[in-house]
Amino acid sequence: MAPRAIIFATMVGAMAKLVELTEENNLVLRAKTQAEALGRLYEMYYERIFRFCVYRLFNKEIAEDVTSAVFLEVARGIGGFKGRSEQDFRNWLYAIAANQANAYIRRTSRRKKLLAEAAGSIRPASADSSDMSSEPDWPRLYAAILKLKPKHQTIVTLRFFENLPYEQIAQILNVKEATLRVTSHRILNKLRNYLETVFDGEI
Amino acid sequence: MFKDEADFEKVVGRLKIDTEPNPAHRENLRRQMLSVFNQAEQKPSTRIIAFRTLRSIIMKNPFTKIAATIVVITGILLGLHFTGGPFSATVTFADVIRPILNARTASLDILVGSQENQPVIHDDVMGSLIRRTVSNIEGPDIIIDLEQQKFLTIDHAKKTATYIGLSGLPDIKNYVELLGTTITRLQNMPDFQVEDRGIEELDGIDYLVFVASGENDTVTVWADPETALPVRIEHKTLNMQIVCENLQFDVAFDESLFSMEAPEGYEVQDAGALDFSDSNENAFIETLRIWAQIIEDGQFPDSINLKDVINLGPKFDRGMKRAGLTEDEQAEVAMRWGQGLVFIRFFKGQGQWYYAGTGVKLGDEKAPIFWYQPKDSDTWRVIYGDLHVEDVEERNLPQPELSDEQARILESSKQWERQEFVGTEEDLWHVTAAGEIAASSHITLTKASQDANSIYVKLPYAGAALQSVTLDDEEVPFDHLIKDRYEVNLLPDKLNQNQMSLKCSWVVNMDAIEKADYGYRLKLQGLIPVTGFKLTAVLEEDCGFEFPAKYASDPSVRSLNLFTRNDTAPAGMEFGTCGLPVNKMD
Repeated sequence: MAPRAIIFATMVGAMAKLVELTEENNLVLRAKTQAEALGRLYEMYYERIFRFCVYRLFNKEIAEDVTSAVFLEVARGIGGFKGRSEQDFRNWLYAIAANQANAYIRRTSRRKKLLAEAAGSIRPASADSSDMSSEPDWPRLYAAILKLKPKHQTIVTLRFFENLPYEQIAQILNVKEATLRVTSHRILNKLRNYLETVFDGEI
Repeated sequence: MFKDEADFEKVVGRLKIDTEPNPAHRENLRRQMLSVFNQAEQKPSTRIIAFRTLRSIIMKNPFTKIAATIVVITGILLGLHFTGGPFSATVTFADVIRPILNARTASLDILVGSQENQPVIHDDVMGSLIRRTVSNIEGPDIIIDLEQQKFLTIDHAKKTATYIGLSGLPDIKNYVELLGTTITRLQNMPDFQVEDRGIEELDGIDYLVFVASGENDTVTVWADPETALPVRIEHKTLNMQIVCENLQFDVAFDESLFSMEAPEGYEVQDAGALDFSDSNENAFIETLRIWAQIIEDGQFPDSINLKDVINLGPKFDRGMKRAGLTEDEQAEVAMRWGQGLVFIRFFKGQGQWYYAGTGVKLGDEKAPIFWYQPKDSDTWRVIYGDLHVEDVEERNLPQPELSDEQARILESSKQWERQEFVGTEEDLWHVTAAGEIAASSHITLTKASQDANSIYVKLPYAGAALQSVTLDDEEVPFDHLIKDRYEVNLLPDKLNQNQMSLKCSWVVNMDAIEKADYGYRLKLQGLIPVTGFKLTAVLEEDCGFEFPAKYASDPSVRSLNLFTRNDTAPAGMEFGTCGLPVNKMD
C-alpha cells in the first residue's frame, strides 16, 4: 500500500542528511560534463592565469602560449578532476599553471632567452636617479627571481604578485603553511642578495 | 632595497607590468579549449557525475559508506515493492479503505522486514509533499516534493538548506493520490478475495481485521472497530514483509512544515541531481558479481530481496575489508552494487523475475541464477553463475524449484529470520599452540520451535569447522550445509522441554582471523539468534601469546572477558567485532 513514492523518500532522506555542496561547487561539478559551465570557469580565470604567466615568463607572447597549454590541459583533465569546490578548481588551475611555467623555463636555452630579454629591458642607472639601485624595476627584479629555484619562483609570484594568502599557496604547492612561511622569508633574503649582485656580470 | 616582506610587497606594487591580455588570444583559446573538451573521450556521463557526488557525500559522512548506500538503495526498493497486491472490494473493506482514498494528509510509520531492530521510517504527508524522518538517521529536516522530484534538507546547526533533484526514475504522482489509485486498481482485480476475520487483539487492543490474499501476496489491514479507520497495514510476499502502522489520515498539519523554501538567513546549496537512468542489466550483473565475490566470499547469496539488502551492512563491510579495498574503492563498489539493485526493481521489464543463486558458486557456467523477461520481449534473459547471459524461450526456462541442498540453505536463513530458536550464548575461545582457536559455544535456548526438525547454526568464520554438538549433554548428529552453515538434527523427545542446552565445539585457524596492531579483531556473532552474548578468550599455556599488562597485570592470568551483551536486548546474530589484545611471547 505505501506507494512507490515512498521510495525516493528514504533514499532522499539518507542523501539529504549528507549533502554539503555550494552553488560554486555545482558549477565545478557541471564543468566536468558541460561546456557551458567550463566556459564560465574559463571566463572567471583566464585573466588571472594569463597574468600569472606574464609574471613568471616576462614575455607576453610566451605567457599566451603557456596560458593556452594550461587551459587545454584543464579541458582534457576536467572529466577526471576530483575536486568539487571552486577553491579546489582554483588551486588545481594554479598548480597546472605553475607546472607549465616551470616546465617552460626549465630548458636552459629558454631561461637564457628570458634573462636576455629582461636584461635588455633594464634601464641603466643615471647619476640623478639615486634610488635606482635601492628599488629595482621589473626587468631587474625578474632577472633576480629567475635565479631562484623554480618552486621558489612560483612562491614569489603567487605570494607577492598574485597576493594569494599563504594558506592557499600551501594548498596549491601541497606543502605545510608554516614551512612555506619560513621558506618565503629565506627566498626574500636570497632575492635581496641576487639584486645586489645581479649586475655584476651575471647577465 | 627592500627590508622585509611588507617592504617587498610595496616594491612589487609599484612595478609597472603590462599584463593586459590580447582579446583575440582569449577568444581563440576559449574556442580551442571547448573543442578539446567536447572531443575528450573521458567525459563522464551524468550518472557518473551523480554517483561521484553521492560517493563524495558518503565518504564525508560519519555514517559508514556502506550503511549509507544501503539506506539509499533500501529507499528505492521499498517503494517499488508496492506496485501490486491482492485487495478486492467488499462493502466492509471499502469502508475501511475509504479514508485512504479520500485523505488529503496522512501520517504513518513504515517498517521493512520482521526483525525488531529495523529502522522506522516516519512520514507526514500532505499532497505531493512529504516530511520524512528515519529512526537511525539523526539530523536535519527532510522535505520531499514528489511532484518536482526534488528534496530539501535543512540543517539548523549549520544553517544550510540543500536541494537535490532526482532523474531517470518513473513518474512520481501525488503521494496521496497515488495511494488511492493503487488501491482502486487493486479493488478492480477480479481474482482476489478478502477475508473478514472480525475482531482480533493486537498488543492488547481490539481491531477489525481483514486479510486479502493473492497468489504471492497477503495484505492484512487492522482497523479501529469504532471508526473503521485503518491503523496498521501489513503486506507479505514470499520473502518480504512491510508494515505501515500508526496510520492517521487528514491530520491537521501546519503547512509551514512542508515548505520547500529555505528559511531566511540560511545558506542555500544546490547539489544537482542523481540520475538513475543508466541502471541496466549490465549494472545488475555487476551487482551479482560484487555480491558473490566480495560480500559472500565467492558464492551467490541465498536471496536478493529487500530484507537482505537492509541487513547486509556488517557483512558488506567485512567483505570489503577482506578484499583489501581502499576507502575510495569501497565507496565505488558500494555504488555499483546499489545501481544494479535499482535495475531489478525499476527496470526489470514485465512479469516476475526469479532468483535461484542459493548455494551456487561464482563461475558456475551451468547454473542459472536469475531470469527475467525484458519489456516487449518474447524471450527471457537468463543469467548463469559465471555471469554470462542467454536469451531463452519460455518453454526452456530453468525450473524455479530448488535442489534439496538449496532448499536447506534457504531454510536456514528463514529459520534465523523467523527466530524459531532463540537463546543466550556464552563462548569460550581457546587460543591453542596449534595456531587455532578452539571454541565452545554454550547456548541456552529460551525459545524453541515445536515444529522444527533441525536447528541451523552459523559459525562466525567461513573457514571454521564444527566438530561436535551436544543437546543437554547428549551428542547429536549434524550436517555441513555450506561454508559456515550447519544443520543440527534435533532429538524429538527433547523438544518438549522448557530449556535446552546446546553446546557446539568448533575450530578455526588463526590465519582466518583479522589481524590488528594490538592482536586480533574477532567477529561477534551468535550461532543462532541470541539475546545475551558473552565472549571470553583463553590463552593456552603454550600458545605463544600473553595478554598485555594493561589487561592482565599478572602473567598467570590466561583468560579475559572480551564482550558481554545483555540478555534483555532484542535477539540478533551479528554484534560487530571486538579486539583480542595479545602480545607474542619470546
